[in-house]
Amino acid sequence: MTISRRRVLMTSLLGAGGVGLRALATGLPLSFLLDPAKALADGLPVCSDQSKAQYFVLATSGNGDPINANVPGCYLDPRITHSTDPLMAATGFSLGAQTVTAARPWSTLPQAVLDRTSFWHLMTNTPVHPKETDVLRLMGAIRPSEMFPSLLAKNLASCLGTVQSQPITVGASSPSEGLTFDGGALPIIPPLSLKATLANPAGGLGALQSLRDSTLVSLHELLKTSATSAQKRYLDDLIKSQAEIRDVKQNLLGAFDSIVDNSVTSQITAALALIQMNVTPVVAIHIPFGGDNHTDAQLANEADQTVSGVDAIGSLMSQLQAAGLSDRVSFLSLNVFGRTLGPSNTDGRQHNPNHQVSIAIGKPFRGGVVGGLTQVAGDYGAMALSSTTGQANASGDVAAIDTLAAFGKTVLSAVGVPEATIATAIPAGKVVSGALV
Amino acid sequence: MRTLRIGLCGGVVLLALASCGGTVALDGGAAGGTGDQTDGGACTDTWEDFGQNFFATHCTGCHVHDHSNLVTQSVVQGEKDLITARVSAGLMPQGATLPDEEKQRLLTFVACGAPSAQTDAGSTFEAVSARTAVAKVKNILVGLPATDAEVQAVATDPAALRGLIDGWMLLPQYDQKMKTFFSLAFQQTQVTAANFVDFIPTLGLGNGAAVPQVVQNARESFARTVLQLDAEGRPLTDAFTTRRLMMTPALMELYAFLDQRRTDDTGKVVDDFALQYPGKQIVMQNDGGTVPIADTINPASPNFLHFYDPDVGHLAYANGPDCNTDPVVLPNSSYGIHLLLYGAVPNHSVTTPAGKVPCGMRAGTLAGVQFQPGDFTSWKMVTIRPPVGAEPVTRFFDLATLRTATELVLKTPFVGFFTTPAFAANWPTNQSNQMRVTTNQALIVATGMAVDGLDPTSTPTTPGIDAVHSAETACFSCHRILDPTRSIFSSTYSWFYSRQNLVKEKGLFQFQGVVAPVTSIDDFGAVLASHPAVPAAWAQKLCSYANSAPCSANDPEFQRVVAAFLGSGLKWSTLVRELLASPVITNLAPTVTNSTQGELIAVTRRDHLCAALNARLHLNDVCGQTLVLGQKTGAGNVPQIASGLPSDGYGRGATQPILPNTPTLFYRAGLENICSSVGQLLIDAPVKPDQPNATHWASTQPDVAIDDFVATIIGLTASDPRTAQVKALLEAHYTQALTSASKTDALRSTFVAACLSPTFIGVGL
Repeated sequence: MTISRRRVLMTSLLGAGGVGLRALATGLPLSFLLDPAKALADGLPVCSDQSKAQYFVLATSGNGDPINANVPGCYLDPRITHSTDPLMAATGFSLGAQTVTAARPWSTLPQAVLDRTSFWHLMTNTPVHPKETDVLRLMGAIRPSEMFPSLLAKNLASCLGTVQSQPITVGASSPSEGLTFDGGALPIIPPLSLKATLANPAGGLGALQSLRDSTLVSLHELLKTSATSAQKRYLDDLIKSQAEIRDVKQNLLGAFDSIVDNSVTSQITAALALIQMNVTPVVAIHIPFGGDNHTDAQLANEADQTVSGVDAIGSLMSQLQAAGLSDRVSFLSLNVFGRTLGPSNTDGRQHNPNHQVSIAIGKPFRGGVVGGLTQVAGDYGAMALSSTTGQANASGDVAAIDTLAAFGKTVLSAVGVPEATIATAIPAGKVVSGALV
Repeated sequence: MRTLRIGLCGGVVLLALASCGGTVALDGGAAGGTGDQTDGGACTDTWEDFGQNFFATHCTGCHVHDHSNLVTQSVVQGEKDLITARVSAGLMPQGATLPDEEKQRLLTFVACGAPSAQTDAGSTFEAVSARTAVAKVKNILVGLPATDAEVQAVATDPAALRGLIDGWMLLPQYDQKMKTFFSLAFQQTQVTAANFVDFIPTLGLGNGAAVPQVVQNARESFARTVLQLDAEGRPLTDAFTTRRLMMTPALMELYAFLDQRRTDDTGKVVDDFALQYPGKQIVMQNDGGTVPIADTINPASPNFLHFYDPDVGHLAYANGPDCNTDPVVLPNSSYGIHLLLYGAVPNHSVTTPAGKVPCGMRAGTLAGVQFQPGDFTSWKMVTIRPPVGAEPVTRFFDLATLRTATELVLKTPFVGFFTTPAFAANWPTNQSNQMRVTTNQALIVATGMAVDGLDPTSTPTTPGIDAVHSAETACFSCHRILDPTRSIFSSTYSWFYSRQNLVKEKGLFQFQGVVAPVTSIDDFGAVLASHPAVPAAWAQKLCSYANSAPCSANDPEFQRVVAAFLGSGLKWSTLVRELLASPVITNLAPTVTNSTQGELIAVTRRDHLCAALNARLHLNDVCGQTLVLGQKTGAGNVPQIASGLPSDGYGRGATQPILPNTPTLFYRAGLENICSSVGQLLIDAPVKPDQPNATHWASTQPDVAIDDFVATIIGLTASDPRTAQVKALLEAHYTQALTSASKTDALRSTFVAACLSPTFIGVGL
């Protein structure tokens, strides 16, 4: 075989070590190829307080699960219907300084977890399943329009130095629960697929990966010479994605070994692995808490899934502790809506636009109940609350309609996003300082 | 072995890889600065004030007899990359030495898309080459690479694309692509066996070994129906009214079973078959031997409802060995028979000295499946009609008859796309929702519009409106439209999609300017079919499929396409031809769509990628998207990775498909592994029985393989000026890989590089 001068030139310029020329060839800045994670942060909000940065595991459901029916705050009014299953018996326990009552499963979380768990009584203001994406956009409260998980991820990527600034969903049960970033839909990658996706090519093909990357950089550059502007942008995006995958910590791929299905357990495993690999600031999962339970005899399904759902959260927390990440990773939940609560809801619950409960667990969150509920439109709805104390207050400075925005603002504040940035991104609502440590 | 020849092209202090004509400066920009300057907004020259005179002066004299005579703006736009390469290399124009400024001006003008003062002066429109346009359209339609002849034909006359499209529509790959498209567009996908629990209480399709097969049949049936109707010359809207469906015997069984076992609004089951034969028992036997189907279905036979099942007597039960009897005997029910056909042993009980022991449903093995493999793969058009007089309905478990029958006699009306089991499983309704989701999704599929509270349709009457739900003003705006329109569903079907046993308000169709009485579900389909929004809605669905984004509805070119579709009597092939040949898709000329949305280059999403791999490499379902009873399909870990690739989806209430278009690190990583798996399957590998026609390459002939990679995977034609350079890149990769790897791995790695080429994993390059 003839080995030409040209090939020698090409390989020497574009071999694995030829970062400088790869930069020339791709048109990407040298900094990007040397440290794509850092370079990716360019253009993103600057990290203002690295010490407060958190990764997030976000549980979201377009089904409108009845989380809001069995949490602290819902046991003050005896007319609110709960499952009669003994496993769901009303049980007293503490959330930090607050003593509360809720379904027994919540009381089983470790006290250290409960002390940093807050239950937010919110109003999503929609009873319609397709509005899941709108609720994830805080019902239009974010400027410019963006999904809250993406806004959060953008504001954390620089601080955490993650490989990418987009969130990832490993648990969406339908495209409706998929995430968007800057308006573009993000793929849904179930745990099993994630495991196979991130595995390195076996054998000799893996060893040739670096050479292949160089060849592809050259190929992209060649194609750019006759490309339109849009085509060039796409080519740059491809090269960027190649650089990103090489920045993923390969030594942690073994964390995926235990994944054998797409269950909640596997989603949590995948989420933890992605965080440990520093891939993204936000991973979305789906934990069933009773689903769309219009027909649910004696609320049996609600009871079963509340038990399994809280178990899943408990498992996440114990795994975070084992990994030494309890102070670095927070958990959030946000569903499209909650369910109706009144006395007639003994064998199923309807959509409730006025009341949904979000959970926040993590180092920056003060244990307790934020807001509360009152009778609204024949059922129950979220109350206004005081931003100072977080307590429900009919004349509080956060109106019920603004509680969803307030939740978003408070989470941003919890991770050190500056007040001015928060005010610009989410004009409505207020930071609920009483909910933060 | 042929020698790999890699030539030098003017050894200069430039990055030689992109040379052989077009030189690339070390700063990464094209010599002459064509590309980057367009980004700077320097598109000031137009065809009228510069291009026309330039080409007439310097080019047309020699090229007058060429197919690309460079006389017209569109030809120049179509030959953009060729002109850029030749002029950049100093090869053109011949016979004149252009001043650097003039050369720069030309390259900028071409890079800007050779704009016209009338249409797009000052805009950023950049026409793609004929090569890019043909590659995009052919890939979208059949997954195959373009040929030189096809590119030349379109370069000569863009209108030639219509004829090419007609030819591509005759290829078998076209049906495969459209099958996927129609499955999505009619919202028959995104269902698993679990979704059937919502309308076949309490255990859905059960846990028999063959259940995944019938779910897949349900997903595919309607797309196959539309293809068949189209082949018969029927308008697209027949899909809204048809009572003929493409079915397998297994699917026929499902429909006939659903007709026999009904669930009313309250969840109460009425089993017509059990009521017909009270006191009878189902017997599943092993030692008792096989039972002729003629006896099984014959009420007069002592073997009536006896089924042979070799699993019986060999299964473990949670409640202990007492359940493991032979035979298994259970009360007659259509549900029990239905479950056992798929290989499950249904719920039953046994009596022991200690009392009655419940034995829960137990999945058996493939051996217990009563269906034959062909019952899930043999498709035919089946007419579903109501019984005439006292005519009996089709016996759902008479598989022998179902294999030859071409009609089903059922009391339940099944009409159009919106009554299929897949649609019902996708959009379960309930006592609260009361068919609103079903109706709204049907409207979205047909018209591309949803009930959103903004519908200006006047609704002086609102029969069937839910007084409680619509009491609030905010809710009334939707309920006044949706409730009367959904009433025909709720008066025809229960909340479990069984035929309705109650007399209910039939309502009134009123949606987006159309108000029409409906007295049957057939009427609903007919009104949908005549809705004026249908033509544009389906043009938009196809536009989104091809462009990964909708067209601009006010684009005159898009409107022309819609008019042509309407004028053809809603012939699908007309829409495909007119739209895919249109500049709104090809980007060969400026359009309002392009100027408002720009040119979108998207990742090759899962369905396009799998189709392209299958078509180009003669693979048989490499992504394992089609199940075969008892067989693993797909290559290696490809199916698993493919399940997480960006894919086309639809969401509840969403009028536009959900299309992830941007490459992510996961896309890149997943594709590398897919390409690696395929490379291992095809290079220095034996022919696998499930891939008998797959293209194979040997590392003993790397040059042949690399030529194929360039032409087949990367999709560059022989006359493409980039071909030689790309081939040189792959050859260099192969050669260098050999220094540290075996020939097999070196060639496989070269394949993977080709497979990751942007032209293969991007649509619009």
